[in-house]
Amino acid sequence: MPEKQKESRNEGAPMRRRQFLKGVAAAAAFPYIIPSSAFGAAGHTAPSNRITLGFVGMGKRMGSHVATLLGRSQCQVLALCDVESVRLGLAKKRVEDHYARQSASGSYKGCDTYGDFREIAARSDIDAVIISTPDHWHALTSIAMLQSGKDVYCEKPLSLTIGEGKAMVEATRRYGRVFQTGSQQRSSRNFRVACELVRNGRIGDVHTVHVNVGGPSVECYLPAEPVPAGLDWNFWLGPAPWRPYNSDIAPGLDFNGWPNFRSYRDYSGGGMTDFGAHHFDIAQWGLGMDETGPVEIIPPDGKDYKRLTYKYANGVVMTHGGASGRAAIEFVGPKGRVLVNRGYLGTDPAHLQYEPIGPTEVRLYESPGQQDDWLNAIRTRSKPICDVAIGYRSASVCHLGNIAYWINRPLKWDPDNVRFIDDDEANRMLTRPMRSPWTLT
Amino acid sequence: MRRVQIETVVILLVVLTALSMFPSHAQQLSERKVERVRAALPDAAIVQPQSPRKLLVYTACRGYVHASIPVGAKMLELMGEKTGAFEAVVTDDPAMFEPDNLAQFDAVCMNNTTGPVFMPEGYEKLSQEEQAAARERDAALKASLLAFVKGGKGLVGIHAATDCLYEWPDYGEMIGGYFDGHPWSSGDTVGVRLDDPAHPLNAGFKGRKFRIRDEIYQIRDPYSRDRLRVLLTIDPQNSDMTKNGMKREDGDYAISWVQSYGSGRVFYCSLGHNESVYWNPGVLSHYLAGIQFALGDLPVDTTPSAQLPAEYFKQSRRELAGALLEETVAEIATFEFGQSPEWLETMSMLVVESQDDPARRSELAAQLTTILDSKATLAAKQYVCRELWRIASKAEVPALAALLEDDETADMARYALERMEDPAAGDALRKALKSAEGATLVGIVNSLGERKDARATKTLARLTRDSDAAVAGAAVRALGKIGTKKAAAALKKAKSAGRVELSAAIDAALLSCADALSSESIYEGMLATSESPQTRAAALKGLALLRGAQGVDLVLTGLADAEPIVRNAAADTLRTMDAPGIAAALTAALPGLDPNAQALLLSALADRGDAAALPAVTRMLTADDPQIQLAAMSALVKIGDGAAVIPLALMAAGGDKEMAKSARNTLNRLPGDDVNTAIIGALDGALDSAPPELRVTLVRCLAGRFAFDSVPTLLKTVTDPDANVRAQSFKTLRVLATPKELPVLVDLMVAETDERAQSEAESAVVTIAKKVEDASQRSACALAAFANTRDNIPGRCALVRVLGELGDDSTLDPLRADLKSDNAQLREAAIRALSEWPSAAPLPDLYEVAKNGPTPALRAIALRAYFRLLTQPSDRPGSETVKMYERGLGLAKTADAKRMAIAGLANVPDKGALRLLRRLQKDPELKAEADQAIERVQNRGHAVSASHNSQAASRAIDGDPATRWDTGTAQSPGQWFMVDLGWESEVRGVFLDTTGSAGDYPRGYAIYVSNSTEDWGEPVAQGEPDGPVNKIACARKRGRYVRIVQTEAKTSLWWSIHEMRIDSNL
Repeated sequence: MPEKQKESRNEGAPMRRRQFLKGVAAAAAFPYIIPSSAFGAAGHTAPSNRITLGFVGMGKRMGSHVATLLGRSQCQVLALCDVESVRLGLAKKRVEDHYARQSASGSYKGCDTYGDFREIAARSDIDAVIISTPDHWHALTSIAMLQSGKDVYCEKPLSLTIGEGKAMVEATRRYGRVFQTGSQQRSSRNFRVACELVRNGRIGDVHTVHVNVGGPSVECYLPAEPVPAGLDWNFWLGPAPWRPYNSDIAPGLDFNGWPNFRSYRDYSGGGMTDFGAHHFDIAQWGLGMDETGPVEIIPPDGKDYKRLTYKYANGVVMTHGGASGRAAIEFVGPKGRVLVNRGYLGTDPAHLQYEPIGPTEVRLYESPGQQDDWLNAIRTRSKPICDVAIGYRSASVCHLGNIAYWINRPLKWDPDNVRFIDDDEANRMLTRPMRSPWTLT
Repeated sequence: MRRVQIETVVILLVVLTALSMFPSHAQQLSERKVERVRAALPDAAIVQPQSPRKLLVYTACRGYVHASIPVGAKMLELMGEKTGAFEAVVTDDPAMFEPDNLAQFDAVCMNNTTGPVFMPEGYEKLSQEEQAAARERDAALKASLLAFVKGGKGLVGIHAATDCLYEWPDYGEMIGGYFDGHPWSSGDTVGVRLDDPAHPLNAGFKGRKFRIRDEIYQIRDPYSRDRLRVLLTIDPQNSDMTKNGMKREDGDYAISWVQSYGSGRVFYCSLGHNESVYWNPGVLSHYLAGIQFALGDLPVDTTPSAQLPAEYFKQSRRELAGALLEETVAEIATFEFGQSPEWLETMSMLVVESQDDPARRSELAAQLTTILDSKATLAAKQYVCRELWRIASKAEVPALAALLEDDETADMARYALERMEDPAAGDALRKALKSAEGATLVGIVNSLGERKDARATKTLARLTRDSDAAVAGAAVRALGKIGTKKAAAALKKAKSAGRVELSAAIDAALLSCADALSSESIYEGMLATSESPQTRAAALKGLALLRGAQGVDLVLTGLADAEPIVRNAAADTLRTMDAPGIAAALTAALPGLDPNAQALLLSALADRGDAAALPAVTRMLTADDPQIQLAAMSALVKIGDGAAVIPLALMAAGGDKEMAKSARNTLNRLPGDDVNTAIIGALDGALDSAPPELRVTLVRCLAGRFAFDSVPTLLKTVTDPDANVRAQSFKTLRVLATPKELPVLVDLMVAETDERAQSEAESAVVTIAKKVEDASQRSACALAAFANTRDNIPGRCALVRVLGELGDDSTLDPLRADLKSDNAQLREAAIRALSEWPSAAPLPDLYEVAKNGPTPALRAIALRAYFRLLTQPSDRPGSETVKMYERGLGLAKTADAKRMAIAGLANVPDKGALRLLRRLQKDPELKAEADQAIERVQNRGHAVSASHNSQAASRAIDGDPATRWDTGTAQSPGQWFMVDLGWESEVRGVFLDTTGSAGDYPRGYAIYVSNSTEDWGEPVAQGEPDGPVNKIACARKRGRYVRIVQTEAKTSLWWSIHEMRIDSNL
């Protein structure tokens, strides 16, 4: 039975009110202030004024970045990089075909390909780089780009370790660069409104947050398989401990799903960092903890703590799991709850979500889209919506949870000094020693 | 080969049997073999027998005869003697299975028995009578053995014990399965894995998988893990899994198992084809435990394997490994990628669990470390280094240091050493610098850098001159991380050496030192001399931040640098500089900068949030360059106040569309507390002389700002002489006004003379009327005004439209009067209002208009509305609905109108609809739609759905009482199960059967019958059952849908329906 009809017939009043309020909210929403045309001729940017881009990691995720950014006249894609040559060739063709269709001559050459990201870093004609490699490459690639004066968009989760994230923030600051983290839920209305409701006390002072994401990654013991032609497996592994190739980790081109490197500890933090970099990120946003983090992490003990539990210095408790219904993130306060997920925003009581938030209340950063926001920030030199420091702290929440799961004891965390308190074993897990010749700088 | 009869042996056996009760083939065994068996046997019983035990060892073969039978039989005799666990009686005489004979034994062991072992040999040659007698005896002996085991005794099977008595299904179940070929032959060596490593019967293997040369059976039905507790299986990682004849799709090649059978106990092990099995100490220990279990002395868990939770295996392996550390480490040492990592994972678990026991943790670290200097696999060593990453202490450093010397293991060793705080780790790394080269050296240098090992500075300084650029670069980076003055000095020296390939790395490292040392001089040097823009950018930023307010000039210069990278860093620096007077200095500089720099500075000032900068930023709104204006607006969104209102409103009212839009957005977002007051003040003040566009803009942004306190002002602007101002005021009031303002708004609406403003007023009135909490009062204001508005036709039309939108049945009568008004405009408004009505109430009126309305267009509108309202939920009988369609069709002039009726008829649950559709089908113009509708009607059958688990609802009507629908959660009020009968039917009763899940009957129900799934009316039956079968009589009611609603809660039980029927009649 269609849900909507039911509401409009039997409970007409709430439905009409909702429609009305939806109308109001739509009127209040507005695009970002500065039209892109401000930076060039209306609707079209002169080639000399375009932001020149390089892409590193031409896998499944990069597909949507390519689609978005090829459609932006204010930028031009000049270089691509991957350790898998067939994928790289296909991406080059896609880019050049796109530009060829726009050119008067109907042909275009000018998108270069590389197997080593350092060659893109060395190109002084490239302004900015999008990185969508597996997680264990994020830090090394980003820092190389920042050190060569490039702005960066790096996919989430920002880093493989907390130490890497910290180094990425330091490099961004040292060189004065713009760094966007790819936690694109921040650019989505539902999540922003949810956080604004929380920040403006619509449910009172939040005391609990539940966040539903997957679990930690595990060691990888998969068998050896022949390395596919075209793949530089040693480079794919890079800083990670050596192990033989297996297609589950880095599948071939015939596989169209999300590759499973995310499940393994050497390359990723598992579901905890994969969706955690989205949902914990939103929880931190709603709590106003963007540049800090929890102070205690308690793994489930089967007694007092059924779920992994974070505690913030102000007493707020956040659990891994426990959000109800369709929500991925559930904020709980004395006056109600805010529930949010992709394609879903709910409040309890229900009317909360339709009450407008005025200009003098806390209004959170309104982004036109994660990539467009990055392009704007590159122009204005402001911090983008998910600045590296935010991405670092959100990823750290995920990593802290993983470390607590792995070590299996309550941990005390000092977010200012980025150290566990009196816990040598946990502190060793802040970075992973890298395979030669790779090192974090 | 396997199936060749060896007649001579059989003959010999028969002869020997005649001589003695014990088939003394054991006597043929060489002393050497006997001694091997004796030596390999356990010294003692696993448990002391509770009483003297006797084991009947049966060796009869009616098929293949295994050459190993004598050794096996001897082994069992010796086992009994040596351990004292039992006395073995070896026989191949079926007579021993007669109940009286069997009674003296505690268990029977089928030792490589083959074929129909209770039948006489040469059965085929016997006379008919003898054959019948043999069959009878066979049945009696089988019954005797079955009763023996079921009654509480034991059964042991060795190897071919699954290769006999195929014709007796009870035996198959009892022994656990039947032989189905042997993919692995007697010459093959296979790996055997402990399927249940912690099971007491596997204790002799000490948790370790093993290899053995033997013939391995494939077992077929009735083999099942649902009944058997499997103990040993083929280890696929250590066995050839590509053998011919492998058939099991589940890959389950079980070797031994136990089960409880009746009150008895069964142990089977398929090892035992080769004689050598009988002097394998591990297997013998397994046999002994199995036999003692079968004899009744060793009670063990026989829960079938399929019922064991994953947690059982995890925990039992953990306990085992904890008790058998050395064995576990030996197991780990052979690990290769792709093998089952169970022992690695178990060890990791032990490491985690040892956290509160330092001594245990040291023991674990020490045990693991033994792998490092052994011949263990690289994968095993890597595993150990990962664990040591977490737990290594000084004690493990020497073993790790040794790995640093080998290029193949140096990275692993660094994995464990790099994060150790103990200085021993640093010492080992520094020592390894001396002999390492190439990638290994680079790695070690990297680790020293990560450790900020200042004691390595001198060596690292030397290495910056290494001819291998990779080594020199690594040394440079390490010095950067160390970040001391000495490190910086070494780096400067390296820089002066002028090696181009190191230049970028040295710059980065020096910046790192400058940062750590807060060294202005390093920054200054780099800013002055570096040719790399990114180095100058970072130096400029670092220097400016160190200089504080004195750094402003430096940054402003940077903003105008030729290199964008430097300009960008300068802009970034503006945001982070924090010292008194900076805002003032920046503001003062603003007007003098070039436009690019101005835009960057404006954005930075906004991010800084400096109130002092606000007037200067606001002034930039009037800059000549649109880029600067936009940058100023972006800044104001973050920091703007009331002073920006008028300049922004002027821009918003201006001609440049893009600019106006940005200005409006900015007005909506200005964060200052005084902004609403400024807007209201401007509107209340003498703005009459200002262009009306300005007033429109200000009124408009009040809505965008949700300025609820502006309503009194808006009630003034809504009477503005300018119609656009009035229209916008109504529009804004739609957002901000409350029901309190409704009477005033209705009056203003009626009095409004401008068409567009009146239209805005109408939507404001409708919107606010819908906010009235009491639904019955929503139309009250409009209705009151309606009575007083006679001659003002536009005003009355507006009211009719408002009442139409509100759709309250109680206002139908007054509206009906206007249907007959002399005024055409009013008539039309009334018809349109009724056409949008949300209930079926105006159906007769619409029919009347459709028939006799003033114009064809209005008649058509009314007819369409009529057909639309016929599809709305109602408690009208289906037959009545069909009649109403028929009447409507009589008025339909166009095919389109008729198609609407056809679409509606397809859903009417009355057979009359079909008749009518068949008639319409004859019209060629309508045939296609009518065909479709008829098909839909004819295909309509029973459909079921439910509030929970709806996809499984059909199981309640599948005629199979074994399947069910259930809620999947505790019973709670409001859960429902619905049947769509497809046609309007008279429902007389409902039959609910929950026998299969007897507790899951609903604790309370209410049954509803209706033609609409949205309006159910009163229940036709209610009750609180107290059992699983319920035949419920219902108050007779016609309807297409039947819904059973749960009315009670039952916390621990779900609600299920295994089968249901509805007693109904069309």
